[in-house]
Amino acid sequence: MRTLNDREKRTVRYGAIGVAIYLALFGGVRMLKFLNQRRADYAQAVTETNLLRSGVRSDTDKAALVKKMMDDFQIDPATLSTNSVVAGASAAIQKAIMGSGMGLTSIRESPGRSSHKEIATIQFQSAGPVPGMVSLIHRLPLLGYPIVIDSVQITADPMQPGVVKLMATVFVLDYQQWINEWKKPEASHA
Amino acid sequence: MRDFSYLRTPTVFIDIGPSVLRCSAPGGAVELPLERGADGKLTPGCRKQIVAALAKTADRKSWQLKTKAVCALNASGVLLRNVTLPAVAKEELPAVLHLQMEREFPLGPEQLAWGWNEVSSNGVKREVLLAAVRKETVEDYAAALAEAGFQPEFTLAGLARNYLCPLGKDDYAILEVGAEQTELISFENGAPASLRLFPTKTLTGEVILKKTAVRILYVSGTDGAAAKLVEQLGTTLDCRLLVIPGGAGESAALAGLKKATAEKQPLLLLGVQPKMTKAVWNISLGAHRQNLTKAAILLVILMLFPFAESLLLKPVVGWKLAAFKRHKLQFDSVVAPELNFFLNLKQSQPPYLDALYVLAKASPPGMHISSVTLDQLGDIALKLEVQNAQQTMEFRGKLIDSGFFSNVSLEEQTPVPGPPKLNVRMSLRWKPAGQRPLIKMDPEPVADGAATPIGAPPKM
Repeated sequence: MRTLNDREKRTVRYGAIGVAIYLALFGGVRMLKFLNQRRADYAQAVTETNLLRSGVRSDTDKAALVKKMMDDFQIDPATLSTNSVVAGASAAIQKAIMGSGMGLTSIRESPGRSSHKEIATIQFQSAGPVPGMVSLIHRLPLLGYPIVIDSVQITADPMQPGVVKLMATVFVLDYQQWINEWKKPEASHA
Repeated sequence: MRDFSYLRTPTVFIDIGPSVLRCSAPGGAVELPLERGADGKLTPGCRKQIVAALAKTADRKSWQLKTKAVCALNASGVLLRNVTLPAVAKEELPAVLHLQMEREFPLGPEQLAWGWNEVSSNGVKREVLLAAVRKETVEDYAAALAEAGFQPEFTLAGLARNYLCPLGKDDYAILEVGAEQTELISFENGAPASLRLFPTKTLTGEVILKKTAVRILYVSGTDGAAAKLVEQLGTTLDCRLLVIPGGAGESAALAGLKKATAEKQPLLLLGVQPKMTKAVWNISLGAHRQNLTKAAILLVILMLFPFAESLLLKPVVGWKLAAFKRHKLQFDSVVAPELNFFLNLKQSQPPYLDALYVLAKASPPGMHISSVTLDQLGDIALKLEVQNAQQTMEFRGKLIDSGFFSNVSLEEQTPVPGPPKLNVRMSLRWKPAGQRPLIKMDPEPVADGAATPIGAPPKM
């Protein structure tokens, strides 16, 4: 191979320097863009993490509130099976009537309005002393089932002073339907 | 105010003679021989040695300010003039001095390093001593001294020696006997009158007597020639030997400079601005190169830190983010619907007992409630038996005053045949939550016999 003279060597050297500068600039810009992108991603991740961290704190409070309300209503949502909740609620109501010193006159179950997320409606009549009636009204929502008293009619018995007749309509909420309705908007957002 | 004295170094005094340079610094005095070229300037080799030796003497840290050096020049090439100026304002004095310089000296002021000192002044005129030397001479010294780390000021050695003499109005002269040259400066009425330079080898008592007419002669010198001369002239003149404190490396000029500086006497300074040489800048840069390198590395690290942080910590943040997202997903799928369900269940519970409590509390004595119908929406229907219409009005008023109900209306009130009794039908509605007051039920019922037991259900 022919030996390069000084002029050719200088030309090659200048060319190499030019290529090196071009590569340095081109690569530098690309590297800078890459680093900036990584940095922006990192900053976004940090911001999102901080937001979620603050959300976790409020979630903890909400979980405590759920626990308190579970204790207050004596309801465990995990045990609220659609098949057995109406039977359980009906039995619990009858027990509560007996436990309140009232006598059960009649009880009737009918399907609830699904538009109102109700699984069943229970109507019952009972009779007994006034304190028992008050106790029963107080205990009905706390029987361990999602029961809401729709209406109450209290009538005095003219034949038995101190005894009242209670005719109440309660409906049992459909927990599963409620959960499904709640999750639908979440799914649509996702 | 902060004390920046640690930035300064003590003043150094330098006596620049024809063939020797004496430097008196706090660390000690040095005496350096001078080699001059044909033009009278220092040779490059000598200049290099002088710079190195003086830089060592200065003992200045690179971050400290330049050391102030007060330099006394020998009489070689120095011109002295006593001039009388008109009394002018201070602002006009430089211009007047400039004109005098042009008139008195063969070279223009721009080509000279010159200075002035006021000798006497009255309201009409001002006597001024002008001193000048070629600018190149002083610039040569100034550049070398600046290179050695000094900030030089120049005055005349003859004037510096004068500070060792007792000040008075008598005429006198100061003779500095050097190895090669002898310098004679005469003073009349305390002001410099003439400055002469002649070879030492021709120095005899007769020569001295010819060159000066004063009766008092101060003699200084570093070798025994000065003492010998004092002995020779002692019989003719009042010849006094100037005692130089300090010993080797010291001179009368250095002693005078120190005394003048200590007593803050005004010195006649020759105006020259030292040139900043490239070598000085390179030395300073070299001294700071290590620190500059460290600073540059730190700066680069500082600039790269955000990028490095994003590259290194991204996996950690990603892991945390995924954990939080899992938690949120779990919460949203389990806890959030339960919470919503319970909140709705709680809000759906109608305040039946509260309504019954308020009805009981509002019932007047003797009133009998036949039936009450309440529904979830808050509509209430009442059937009552009262003894008179007044009881109805009282009951209705109490219901309204309780603030719990709205739309309290009397639908029907009819008398019953037989005993005085009225059948009444009323309808009312409880106010929405938030608008009705919170009901606190009394825990204990009142004793029997009360018309309407507080906290007890109404009579039926």
